[in-house]
Parts: sequence; C-alpha cells; structure tokens
Amino acid sequence: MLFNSIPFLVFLPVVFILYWYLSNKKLKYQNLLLLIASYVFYGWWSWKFLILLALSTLLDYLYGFGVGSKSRKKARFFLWLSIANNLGILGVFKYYNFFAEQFQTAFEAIGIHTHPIILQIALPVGISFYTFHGMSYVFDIFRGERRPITNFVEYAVFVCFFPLLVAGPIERANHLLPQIQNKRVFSYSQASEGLRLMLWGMFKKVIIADGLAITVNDIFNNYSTLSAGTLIMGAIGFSFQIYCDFSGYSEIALGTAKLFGFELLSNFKFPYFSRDIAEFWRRWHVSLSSWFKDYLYIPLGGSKLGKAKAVRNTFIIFLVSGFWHGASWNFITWGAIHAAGFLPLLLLNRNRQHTKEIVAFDRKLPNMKELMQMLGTFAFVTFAWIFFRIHDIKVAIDFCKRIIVNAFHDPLQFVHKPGGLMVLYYIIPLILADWWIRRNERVIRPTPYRILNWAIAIVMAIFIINTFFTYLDKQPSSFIYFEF
Amino acid sequence: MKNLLKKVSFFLLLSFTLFFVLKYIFINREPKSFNSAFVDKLKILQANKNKKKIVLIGGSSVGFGLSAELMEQKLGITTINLGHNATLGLVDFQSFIEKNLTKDDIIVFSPEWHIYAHPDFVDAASIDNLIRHNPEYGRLIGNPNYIVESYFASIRFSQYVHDGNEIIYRYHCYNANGDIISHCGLKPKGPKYYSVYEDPMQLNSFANYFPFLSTNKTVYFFPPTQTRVYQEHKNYFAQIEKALVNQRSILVDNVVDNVYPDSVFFDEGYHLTCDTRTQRTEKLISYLTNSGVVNNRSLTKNKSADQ
Repeated sequence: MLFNSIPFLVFLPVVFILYWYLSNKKLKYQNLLLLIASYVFYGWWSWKFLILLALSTLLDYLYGFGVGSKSRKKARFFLWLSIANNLGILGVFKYYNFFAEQFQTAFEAIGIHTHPIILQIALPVGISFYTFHGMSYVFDIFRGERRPITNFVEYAVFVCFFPLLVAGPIERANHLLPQIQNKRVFSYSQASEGLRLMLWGMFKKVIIADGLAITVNDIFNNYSTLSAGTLIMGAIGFSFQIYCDFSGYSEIALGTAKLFGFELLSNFKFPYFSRDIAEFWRRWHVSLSSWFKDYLYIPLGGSKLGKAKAVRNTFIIFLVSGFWHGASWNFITWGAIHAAGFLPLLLLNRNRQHTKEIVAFDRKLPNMKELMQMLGTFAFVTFAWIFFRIHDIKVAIDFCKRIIVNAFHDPLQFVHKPGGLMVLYYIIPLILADWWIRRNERVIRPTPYRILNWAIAIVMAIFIINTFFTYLDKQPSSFIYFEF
Repeated sequence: MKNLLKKVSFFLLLSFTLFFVLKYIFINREPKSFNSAFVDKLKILQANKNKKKIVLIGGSSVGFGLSAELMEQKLGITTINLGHNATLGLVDFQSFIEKNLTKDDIIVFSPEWHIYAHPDFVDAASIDNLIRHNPEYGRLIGNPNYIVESYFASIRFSQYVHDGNEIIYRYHCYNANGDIISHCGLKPKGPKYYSVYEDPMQLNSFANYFPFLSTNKTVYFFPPTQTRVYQEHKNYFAQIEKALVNQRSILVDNVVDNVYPDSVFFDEGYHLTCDTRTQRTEKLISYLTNSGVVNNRSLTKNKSADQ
C-alpha cells in the first residue's frame, strides 16, 4: 500500500479510529492492532513476501535470546547466525543476480563460459529496511545495551510498524522498543503535529517530486540531444526530485507515527543547506548513515586507529552505503564519489566543523562564505546524483561529458524548452519554504498567524486533491526508495 | 480526540468545497480541443442518419487527405469525413457508425498503416483529452467507461496545453462535411518521418472490429505515404495489398498510387496539403464513378445541377 494511494486514505482513518477507540484500554490491544494493521499494509502489496517478513521477524526474535546469553561464545554464535540470516535474505533477493552476473563476466574474461542461474523474483519491498531493524536489535543486545524482549508482538511491531516498514526511517531498538512497551496516550498536539507533517510530506511527494519527475525523465531520456544548460537543469531537478520523494515519504511516516503516539527518528534535516559533504551526511538519510556509523564504522575502529584506517573505514562505509541502495555498479560509484568528497575533510580534520546547528541558525540569511559553501556542496552532491540516476555508468559519464562539451551550445535552451524552466518553478518555492522552517524539521509551523497557516494548508490540500482526482483511474507513482 | 476529528473534518470539507468551486469556475472557461471536435463530426453523421451517403473513415490521413465537400459536390451524394486523429483509434465508435448507416451507404475505409496490424489501437492520452474537453463522447458512442472517466477527466485541472490558440489543431478546424481545413492556405512546414512497424497483419479479424465491412459497400483506400517510408516498407505494403485482393476487398488503387513527395505533406507524414488533397479526391471520385460503386444517376444529377 502506498501512502499516496486511495487504499491508504481509507486504511489510515480506520486504523486510527480502531486504535484510539477500541484498543485504547490495554497496551497489548494497541500493539496487536498495530501488528495486524502493519501486516495488512504490507500484505496489500504481496502476501507471499509477508511470509518472508514474518519469518525474518521470528528468527531475529529467537536469535535475540541466544545473543542475550551470558556465555560470550554462545552470544557471538547467535550474533553471527543472525547476521548470516539477514544478509542471506538480502543476498538471495537483492544481490544474488548481481554477483552471478559479475562472476560470469569474470570467468568469461579468462575464457571460461558459465551459465549461472538467474533468479526471476521480485525484490521484496522494504527488505533492506526491515532486515536492518532486525540486525540493530541483535547488535544492541550483543553490546549489552538492552535485554532480549520476551513479548513477540512487541518485537514484531518494532520490525514492521507500518509507517516505517517499507522505506524507513531505520529505527533503533533502543529508541522505538521502549515506546512500544509503554501504553500510548492520545495527545492532541502530537497528533496535529503529525497531520501537518503528513500534509507537507504529501505535498512534497505528490506535487513537487512527481511534478519534477516528468521534466527530469524527459531530460535524462533525451540527454544526447540537449544543451549543457538543460542537462544541468535536469540534474538539479533530480536532486530535488529525490529529496522531495524520500524526505516527503519520511515526513508522512513521522507524521503517521505521531498519530499513533510514536516519535520516530528524524531522517532528513534540510540536507541541501549543508556546508560540506560531512554535514550533508549528517542531514541526508540520517537513520541509515547513523546505522552504518554505529554498527559498521565504529566497530571497524572508526577514526581512532590512525589516518590510514580511518580512510579505509570511510571508503568501506560509503561503498557499502552505495551498495545498500542497489546491486549495481552505479550505486557503488555514487558511494565512491561521496567517499572521495569526504576524504579531504577527513585528512584535514575538518569533517566535524558543522555538527550542531543548521546554517544561519540565529540569522535570517547566510553570509557569502556560507552561501558559497552550500552551493559548492550542492553542486558536488548533484554531480554524484547523476551516477545514482543513470544505471549505466558509461551513459552517466557521457551525460557529464556532454555538459562540458556542449557548455556553449544553445546556453538558453532550457528557457524555451518546455520543462527546463519548470524545474526552477518547483524548486525556488521549495528552497524558500525549507529555509523558513529549517530550524526544526519536525515542527511545520509556517507562520505565527493561525489563519495564514490554515490558508497555506488548504492551498496544499487543494493541489493534492486535484492530483488524486487526476490519477484516480491510474496507478499512483511509487516512491523511489521503495526500490531499495 | 473529538476536537481533532472535528478540525480535520472541517479542514477536509473546506478544502474539497474550494476545490470543487475552483473546478466549476475552471470548467466553464475550458475551451474545446482539436480532439473533442471529433464528437461534432459524429453528430454530422447522426444528423444524416436516414440519407444515402458516403462516409470516409480513417484517422487524420483521411481528415487531411480527402475532401468530402468536393465529393458531395461532384457526386451529388451527402459525404461525411470522419477522419480526425488516428490516435483516437477506429474501433470505439464503430457501433455508433453502424447505427447511423442505411444499407445503401458507401464506406471509404482508409486506415493508417498501423491499423492493419493493430485494429484495436487506441491512445489513452488522446481519449483522455477528448472526453475531458467534450464529455458527450462516452454517451454518444454508448461507452459507459468513458462516461465515468469523463466525469473525473472534467474535474481535473488542466493537464494539457489548451490548443485554442494552435493554428491547425484547434477546435474549429473542419468544414460542414468534416474535412480538416485549418491548414488550407498556410505554408507547409514539411513532414516528419513516421515509423511503420511491420507487425503481422490482422485482416482476418477486421470484420469483428469494423462491422460495416460485412453490411455495407466498403471501398479500401490506402493512406498517403511518403516516398522514403514506401521504399523502406515496400514488401510489407505489397503483402497488405495482396491480402486485401485475396479477401476480395474492393481496392481503389495500389499503394504506389498514394506515394507522394515530402513537398506535398503539410506537417506530418500522413497530412496532405489542401491542393494535393483536391487532386487525390478527384482520383477517388473518378474511380468510384468508373467502377460503378457510385451509380451514374447521382453523377448525372450533379452535372445537371452544375450547369
């Protein structure tokens, strides 16, 4: 079930009413309802893969007891069993075909012809997210940060809570489980905050991301005939498309969770206002980058074992992060580009310059230096997105090459080519809106005036209603991160 | 909780009300489109239901490429040009045509090349444009899906650039006989080349898609074809021609007789200029009279009227 679909618009109010009116008396009823609702939400897409989800949940729940054992040897055994299990699921469904093809190519290079079996199976939606939930649970137990949970329903809700089930945020056992284990009490302010977040997230997805997608797809599909200006506009458009698509999803997820009394981890903190790549990664897909930092980078030694190992660890974490997005070389290249951008900061010990407040936190506007830093970071990130968007690396290189080769050819093509200017029409209001609310990504209060806030909300709602009517007889567009 | 539900309900009510108010204002301002003009052509047919007539059927190659006005003038028989836009398909309105024919009516059937392989071809976006600008279509041809879809289509904000200002593809683009005339007198832009996919022919199933083939006198006429396209697909066209002959269909001429240089196409590979259309129509008229498809009495009547 997609957040931007009619079934979800029916599903959500029904679950909300049942949750607060019927199952409100006892914690176990609340959790049971959430579990059933989450399985319906996931099963709506595929009941067959629901079995996989339930099985994966059950195994990690059982491994948790082994990992929590007093014997360190036994704990370590079950930890590795859990890792093998989760990576095994990912390996079969997400990475098997990639490796099979790579081995085939490698063998053919030395003259050996092989015919590996290629699996004809769909990638289960959200597989990368729920397996990471399960792993975070067993890791936390192994590190002694929490005890194994005895109530299966509570654990299952942690893994498959429907707002975050298919595209995150990737929650931590220590953050979400305590909330699941305590009875939720309805809070008007929390619920209305949730609705505001949902509306904003929906607007970003349905209006901005899907609107930009039309132009961006057109430009990327016909890049060989276009001028440098239009190609740059396409790349910038994609930067904002993926940002609005994914952060829009995350905001709907955060908002939906708030309706049920939960606070999820933030996933986006206005990443395009970052002043360097290090800051960008503290603001983009925060739940994934912090997951990799805590469970991969730090166990590898982080930056405490000397510069050489820090560089190695940085590359590992970025390459793995790229590979997490998909079994394809373009994602690995995308990760490598970011690692290369991060490296100078690491070597010069400047990777922790902007760890606290967002740019110009106590001012209305950034200064010139900050502006240039933001533009530079954005340009770098946008360049890397080209490799994320185009799956064939040769085509991606050709795309970049044409930006340079065609630099002076028809520089104003994007102005008269329909769609080129559309990118600016979408992103300028978005940048202004993001700048306005940048001090707190979780509280969407555009102005201090109540009536004006209502007016803004109604205008956004009208746009969304219109889009729903437009595509009523068609499939709603999926979220980009559902592919991962 | 109740407070929240009240506020949300009020918010949704207000948003939907404003949405429909804006829609109402917007719908009333919406001009009809090129595609929606097709409904009016069907109405010309409906208005002439009981008269003996010649009906020209095809896509825009017929709308641009034949003159029903000239045929009516020369043959003295009411002639209606239903050719409009091949992307609207040719199947949706066949039962409507059938209902509005008399047994003596003559059909000139000139489908574009892709119809020979895909008789049921319809482009959803074109239909969407048609029913959005003219919701009457679904009711007229008796398609309940289009009636429902036109409701949703008509409450959408504009998804298309309105073609009210387009020189050629505007709503008022045809004459009383249905011929597209909006390009007459304008300088040709030169044609784009189109692709012909040599998919297997479906001639055997034509009778299911086009009921008039078995009930009325139908004359096949090949679409105007660019020289380059003809050269590239010569063998495929010959196969179509041969298959039609084997089926004992009435052919007006050969494919090669409809091959034209680029200079006589207005903007698309199928769209002839007005002058060439006149010459082509005259060839069709002489065939219809010489072969006896149209009886000589009509012609005589017409000649005496001219004098």
